Amino acid sequence: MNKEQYVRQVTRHLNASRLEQKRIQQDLLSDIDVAIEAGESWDEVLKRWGPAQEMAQELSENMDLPSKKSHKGLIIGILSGVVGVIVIGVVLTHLLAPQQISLKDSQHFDEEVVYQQAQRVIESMNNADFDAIYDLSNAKMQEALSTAELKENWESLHAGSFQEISRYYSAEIDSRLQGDYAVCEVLVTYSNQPVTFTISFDTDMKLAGFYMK
Amino acid sequence: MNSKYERQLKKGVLEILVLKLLDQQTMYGYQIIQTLKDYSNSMFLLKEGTLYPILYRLEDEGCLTSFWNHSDSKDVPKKFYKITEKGKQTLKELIDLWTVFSLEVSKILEDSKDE
Repeated sequence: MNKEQYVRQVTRHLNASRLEQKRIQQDLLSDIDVAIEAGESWDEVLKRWGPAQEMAQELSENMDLPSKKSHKGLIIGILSGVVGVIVIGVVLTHLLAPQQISLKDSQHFDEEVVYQQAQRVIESMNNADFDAIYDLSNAKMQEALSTAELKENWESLHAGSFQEISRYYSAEIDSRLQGDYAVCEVLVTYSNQPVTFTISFDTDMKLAGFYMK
Repeated sequence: MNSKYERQLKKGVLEILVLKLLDQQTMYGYQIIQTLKDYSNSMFLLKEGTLYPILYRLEDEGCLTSFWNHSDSKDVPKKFYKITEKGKQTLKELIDLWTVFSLEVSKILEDSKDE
């Protein structure tokens, strides 16, 4: 992880105003540069500072920042354009509407690779490894993703422990506006309740959309 | 000893220490951390997540001002913090309070030791 990514992750975990986030980002980036100027390597700074979430927690506690609200049963839509494109396609004309293609016939996606990547995403959620979700995401998704919010909303579902993947469906969405995506709908049974994940991947197999209910 | 107690004890004096350092010299964040570490024989190992909220609070209350030193040289730009007149007054009040505070605490601890 480079310093910009680290600092971005720190501020994503903070429930702070944009102005406060900007101030913190500037100061942390400056401190990294100063430490490197003083002879430390970026790895040494990273080791001294600890994980981004810890830094964010320390900042939050010392700045008396409120914790992010959790909404029980709230449906989370963190998309990087896929669902928006689909909605626009339906409302506009048939010509602009995304075409749905079976992955077996896809020229851009391998059905098995998509399934394995979807499994990886679900395993990360099962392990509460939200940083892994961030790492699996494409750049647009990373900008929109708040791991702190993802964590709170996942925990608010109280799904329980993973039991099995009960149903899996995938297809390629060929959008004239924004390109091709592999979309998976996965019904996962947990000890307390089932959760349906809608997971989208771009042609680089990076997470481009994530939705759960 | 539970490190939480030590952390809580140290937290109470950080504002006064930061103000005191800045009263002596205008400094940037990293410099404050290093100076505090050196002056205290590493008793105070401040992290950025603790220091910056203190600086922001003091600045928002008018005890400090900050400015970027965008040097033309190859040095990286640094954000310096400088104590204001209000900061100096606050420091004086805090030192007076600390004097009474430490005296009273020492008295109680001394009394407890005698028992």
